[in-house]
Amino acid sequence: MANADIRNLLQQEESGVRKPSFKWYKTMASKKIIILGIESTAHTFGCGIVDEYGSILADTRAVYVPEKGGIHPREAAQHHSTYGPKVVKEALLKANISMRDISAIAIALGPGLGPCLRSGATIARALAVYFSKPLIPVNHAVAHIEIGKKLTGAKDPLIVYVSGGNTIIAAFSGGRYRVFGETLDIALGNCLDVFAREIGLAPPYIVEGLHVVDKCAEKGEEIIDLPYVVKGEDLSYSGLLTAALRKAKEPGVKLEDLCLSFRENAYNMLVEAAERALAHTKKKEVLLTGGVGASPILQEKLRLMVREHNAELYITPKKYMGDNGVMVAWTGVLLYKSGITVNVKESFIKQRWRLDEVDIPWQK
Amino acid sequence: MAKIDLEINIGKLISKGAEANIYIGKFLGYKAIFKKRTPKPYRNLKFDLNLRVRRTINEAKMLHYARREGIPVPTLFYFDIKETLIVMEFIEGSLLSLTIKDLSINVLKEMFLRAGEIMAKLHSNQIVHGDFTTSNIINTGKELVVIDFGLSKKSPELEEHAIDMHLLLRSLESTHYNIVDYVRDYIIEGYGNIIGVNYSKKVYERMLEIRRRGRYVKERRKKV
Repeated sequence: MANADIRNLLQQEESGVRKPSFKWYKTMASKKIIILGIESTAHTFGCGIVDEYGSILADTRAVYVPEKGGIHPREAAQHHSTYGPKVVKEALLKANISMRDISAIAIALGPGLGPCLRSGATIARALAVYFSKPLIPVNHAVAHIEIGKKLTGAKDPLIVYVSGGNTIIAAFSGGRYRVFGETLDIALGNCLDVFAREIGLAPPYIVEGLHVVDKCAEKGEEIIDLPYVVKGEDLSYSGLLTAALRKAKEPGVKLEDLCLSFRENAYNMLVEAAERALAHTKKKEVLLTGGVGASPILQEKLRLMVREHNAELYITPKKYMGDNGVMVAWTGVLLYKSGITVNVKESFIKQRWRLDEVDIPWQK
Repeated sequence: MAKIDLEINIGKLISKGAEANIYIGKFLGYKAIFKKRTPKPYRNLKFDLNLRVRRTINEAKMLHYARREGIPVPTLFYFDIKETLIVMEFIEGSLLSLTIKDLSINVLKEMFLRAGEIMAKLHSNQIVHGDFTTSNIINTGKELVVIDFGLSKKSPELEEHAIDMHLLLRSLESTHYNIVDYVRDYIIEGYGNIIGVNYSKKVYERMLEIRRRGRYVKERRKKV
């Protein structure tokens, strides 16, 4: 190992991260690193197995689908506890390896829903203790970014991370992903889903690969005036949601027009904030990740915007855009190589673990 | 209405911002900035026109208000709604965001005291800037001049004022993370000098509350 790496490790030791053991150095030198990653921050319980080169050996998931309404945290957690062990077992079977071949367990400790995080963390801790494997603490948002970078080949992108629980525009700078803009209240995915549910379009939320709001908007013609809230590079979606739901009750408002206006507002706000951040940071790459990124309409809007700034748009493959275990495992590989693990006793879940609190030692 | 012939000379493009192209040129003999909001291909056509017109009118109005109250902003020369164009005074200087790293500690202190004061002046006249970041402040050497009023509005509300404060601090946290802890107090101090210490405390408190409202914020738990 190079001197610089060792110096890094010493610094991390001071900052409270567990000191790498002799065993760690030994594994680093001898064996190929294989990480098992567990994701359980929201509705998906995912397990991924990835080797140090980023080859995906297994990717298994179980998704909690609420019968009505949104995610109920307790029910989702019960779902994860029930199906979690099966998903992990299946992943091992698929990768055709045993726990002995696994170098370490990576677990997404946050941000997310408390009960869900807890059930995933319990499984990960149990595995780590029983098989005496190191435990790697992974930030869910970092995992989304890292898998996107790995699969698209983006080097230093402006990151647009949109999902049911997150709407973040970030970029790497000074050892961390710095947040340039984010939602001040609810996330874009949350906003779209609640709107669709309340006006009776959903569930199901996705039909033929399109969100039901996108689908309904296809037939819209008129633009209805709705709040468009961009504050610098920050966004706010709650006002848009309330106003749109209120409009839906008014007589004479065509649902298609409302969907079109709602979607235009929601997406354009995000694209404008991203454009502001792009003009500000002058990055040459933009990476789209997170579940909402699967929307072809949003992708097209971003592509048009990015082209104007002579940058390139990288879109995370659809399969890995939503929550999955592979992204946790891959980020686990990066962390493990940097010597970052956590003591099981201190592996608390962090519901509010911000993206910009995580040191990223593997990027310069 | 009689058509007025204006001696306008749009020169070369100097910057391509997020929402507008900035040209430098001559207006009635004065060196001027031409800010033209261009259509965005990613927006629905009607939506796009609506937004551009609204923002052009808004920016012109706000520049005028701010100028009238003696706040250092570029003088509004002319605007054209059809063309979504604004013509304003050219300010000689450099963007604060670009020069920050060359400033000495003492100058930094002065700068951010002043930035806080300007923000307070805007707020005491019920103007909310909406994008008060170091990229929107020009340092002329003698004075700081605030530009880009595209997202601004008139509002006497504490909430909006706190968001302005949040945006300035956020821009420092993401771009100039090494100085933010040093200058934060000076911004608040400068702000309080103009608008009163009580109000500046209120704005700061509200700003923390706004941050707590966001998703996945650590600070939130303490209060509940």
